[in-house]
Amino acid sequence: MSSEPSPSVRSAFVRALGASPSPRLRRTAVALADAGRAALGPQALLLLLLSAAPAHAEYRRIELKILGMDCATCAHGVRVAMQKLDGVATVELSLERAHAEVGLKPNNRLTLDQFRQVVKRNGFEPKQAAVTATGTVRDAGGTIVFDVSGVTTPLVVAPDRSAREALQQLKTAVSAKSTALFEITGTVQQARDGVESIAITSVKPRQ
Amino acid sequence: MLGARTIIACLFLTAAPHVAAGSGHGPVFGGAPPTLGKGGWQLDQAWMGRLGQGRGDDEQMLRTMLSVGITEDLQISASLPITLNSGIYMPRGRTMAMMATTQDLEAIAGWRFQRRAIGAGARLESTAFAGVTAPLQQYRADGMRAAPSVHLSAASGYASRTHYFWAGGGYQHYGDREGDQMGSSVFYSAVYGYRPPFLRLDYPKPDLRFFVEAIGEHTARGQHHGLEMVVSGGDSILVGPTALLLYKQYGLAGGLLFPVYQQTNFQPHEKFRFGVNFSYFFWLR
Repeated sequence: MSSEPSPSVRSAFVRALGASPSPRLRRTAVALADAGRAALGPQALLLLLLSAAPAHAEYRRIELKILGMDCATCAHGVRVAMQKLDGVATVELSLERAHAEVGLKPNNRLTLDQFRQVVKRNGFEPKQAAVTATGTVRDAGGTIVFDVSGVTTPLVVAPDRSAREALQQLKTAVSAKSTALFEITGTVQQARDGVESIAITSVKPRQ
Repeated sequence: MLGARTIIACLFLTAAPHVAAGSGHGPVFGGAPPTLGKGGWQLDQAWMGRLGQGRGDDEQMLRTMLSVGITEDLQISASLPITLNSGIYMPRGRTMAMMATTQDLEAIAGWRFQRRAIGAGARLESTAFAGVTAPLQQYRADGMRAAPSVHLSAASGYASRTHYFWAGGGYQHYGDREGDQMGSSVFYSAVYGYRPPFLRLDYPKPDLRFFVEAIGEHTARGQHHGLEMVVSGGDSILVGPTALLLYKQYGLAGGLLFPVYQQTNFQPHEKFRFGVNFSYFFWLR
């Protein structure tokens, strides 16, 4: 077994961890790749690459419409409550636009429903949401669904040409039984029977 | 032809002045539904009083209140008074919605039984209140034995980014202690609030709005040693401007009310009523 990792493995390792949000992890990855030639063979290094690469389905950004919020204290209460959720990075409230924009930290486990509950506990009404999330897609009985933070949501296409192309991209991935992660941006909508779906507007494969 | 007093009285619905002085909504004197969310706390420090037309007729009080949101629709509050000056001749009443005028410990529960968001920044809501007071002294300033009281009230209204309107009413009844009993009171109020376009600033900028408040009170005659006190009780209708400033977790409200009608049963008339309240909102969890 060669003690020197092949250039392709090393570069793939560094590239995968380059997507990691942690600078320390990236520096560690480079150091390991260079040191791996003494302690690890290329196959073991590849395993380390795969296990170290971020593969977590999660929400990245949520925009939630909130009705009934009229005053500064109203908004402040909602903001304080959202900031207390573990995994929230930023919260911006707007009374004029009646919505909250939440940026989430990597590796968070938060669900959209948790934010809705925060709004309700403050006495207001959550309405439509727009989300950016990373997750896996699969075929569930003929419907393409998106798995993120333990919640499975059907995907539909927004009335937009780029969205139709995005959905086709997902169908191709599902057909190929790909386990890759995709970053999806879309609007959460609720049917009359209460079933939610995400009307996707864009899709990006996650590196 | 309707007189001015009649017209003004017709503008008021029975209301309970039992709602948060210095709440997120803002009326200083009149009633409005509370706004604390579940787990939210509010500390209020109020300075309120009434000035009479004669010497020694003034009343001034500091009152500290602590409120907590049990759920998003249920709030409880408790307040303690520090009396600065006790007038004994003016008809009794409630100077501020959530704060009694008497030197009593007071606890109030508010249940928002109706709530509907009707758009961005707008909602309709209604709240019922029930409260009790417990005297901290054996005798009141006028020499009457002090007794606890109970009160019931309700307030309903509309809140939005531009306009506010609330109306409410209620009833407070004092107990009898060895023949001494303060007269029961019926209260009603109406409040209109307006946030002009140039003040419609988005969070987290300061939030300032103005109100016109009107309250009416009918206080029955009291009893002393079992005998009705002729020089007690009365009716009044007061109107005046107030304002509320909110900034993040702080609130400051204040204003004045001037009598437009008084019937005081030979007691001194009230010149005006004032209230200032500082609020601090906080969350423990």
